[in-house]
Amino acid sequence: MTQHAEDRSSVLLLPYIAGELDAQTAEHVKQHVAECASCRRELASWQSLGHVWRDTSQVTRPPDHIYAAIMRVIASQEVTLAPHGMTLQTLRAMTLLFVNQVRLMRRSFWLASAIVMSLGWFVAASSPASSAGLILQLVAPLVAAYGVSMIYHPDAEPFLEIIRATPTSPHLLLLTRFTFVCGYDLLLALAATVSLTALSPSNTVGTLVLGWLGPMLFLSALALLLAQRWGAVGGLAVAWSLWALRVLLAANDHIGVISPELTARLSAYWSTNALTLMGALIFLAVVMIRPAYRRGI
Amino acid sequence: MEEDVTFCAQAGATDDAALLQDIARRNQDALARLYECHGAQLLSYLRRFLTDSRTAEEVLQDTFLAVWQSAATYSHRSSVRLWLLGIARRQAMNRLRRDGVLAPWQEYEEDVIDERSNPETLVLTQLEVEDLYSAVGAIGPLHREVLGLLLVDGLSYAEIALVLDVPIGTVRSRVNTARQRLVARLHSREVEYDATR
Repeated sequence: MTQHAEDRSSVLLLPYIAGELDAQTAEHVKQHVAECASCRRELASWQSLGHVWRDTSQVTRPPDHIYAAIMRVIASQEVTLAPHGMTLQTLRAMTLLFVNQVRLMRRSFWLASAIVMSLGWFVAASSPASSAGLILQLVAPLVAAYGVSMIYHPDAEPFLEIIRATPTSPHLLLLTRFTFVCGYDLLLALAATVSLTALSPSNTVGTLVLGWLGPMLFLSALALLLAQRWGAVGGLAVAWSLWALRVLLAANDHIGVISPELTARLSAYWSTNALTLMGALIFLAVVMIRPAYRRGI
Repeated sequence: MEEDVTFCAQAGATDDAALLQDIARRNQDALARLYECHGAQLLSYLRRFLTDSRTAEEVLQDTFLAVWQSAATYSHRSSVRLWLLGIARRQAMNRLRRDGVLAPWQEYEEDVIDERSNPETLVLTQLEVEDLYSAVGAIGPLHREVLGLLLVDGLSYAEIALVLDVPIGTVRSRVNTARQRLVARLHSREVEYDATR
């Protein structure tokens, strides 16, 4: 082994063998190898290694006993995988899936959602009863959009390699996580709603829930779709921009930039109606057609 | 990237992608033909990656079971050969993790270059190919794997990236690190050898 500080060509020998160098660099390496005995020997060593390695690992025919074993397993699977409906085993598998997915999700999500929702609750509780609905309408969708943006994308997935190696379909993983995040945020928003109506009986649970449910589903489904295509940050950015527009509409009563009629008409869309619910369904359907990453088998 | 259609001499001009379609329709004859065509090459790859022949055979079995379950997911993103190598690779990684040979996060840590040995300026002068071959067995499965795919299977960096499902830059740095580790290992052995003389 010798020092070879005058030239770094030796580092380029493997890329040279693989044909990965551009023409100029390859020519430089070729010339260098012609002049430098040690690099010439190293190049020959790599090539010999390839030959020896091929000879020692080469299999000319795939073994019959492995194929026979594969066929035995397939035959047994065909029997055990016959449809039996919803068995206890299926239920157990679904429970395991749910529990394990919860473990894989970022812990900060649960806490952050609860904190933001609590802050919203405090603001709503300390505002006049007539504003409580509007505040929930703003906070609940924001919390949900944040949560779903982070649930299922390579950017936000610390265990991607392992998850890809599991036999569970990405669609099922995505649905499981979406159900969890939305379910959790729904419970938070419901708890906030019920406690607010207890504080000021002029609000009913029904009206308040109808105020935030549609926007929450719409914004979270949109955030999920965009997060799948553009990454968690992209999904969040668009969802938050839409949300900010809604806040501006709410503030327009005081600013007066847009006419009150237009404000009222636009604000009406931000509620539980056919448009928001259909939008949420369409976004979810598109997401399910092609999740951001495929299963590794 | 390779051409999408390769032909298997043993099975006689059979379209690999069509075989996968038949397998997706639960055609066991198609699986048998795919095994005839690609089993040997996959087993060679697994032997180099895992070094233990018995484990390699078990992982080959897992690989074809995974193909049987998921042939319909082949999306023509790469050739069938590379797709199969990718599946064999993931099955092998599962096995290495299950056996505790690799930690779940090791794939990423392995690419961190050891700054202490400065092998960039070291050159292989130890030309005994037997030494090189035995050193390859000791540099860790992930680096042995890229060297094997490059030197034995003759894959390009882009093809290796498809098999490993990593960016091409990762392949580049992993090949470089593999060389550094190999050279450093030979170097340390040479130092030991000199010390005993």
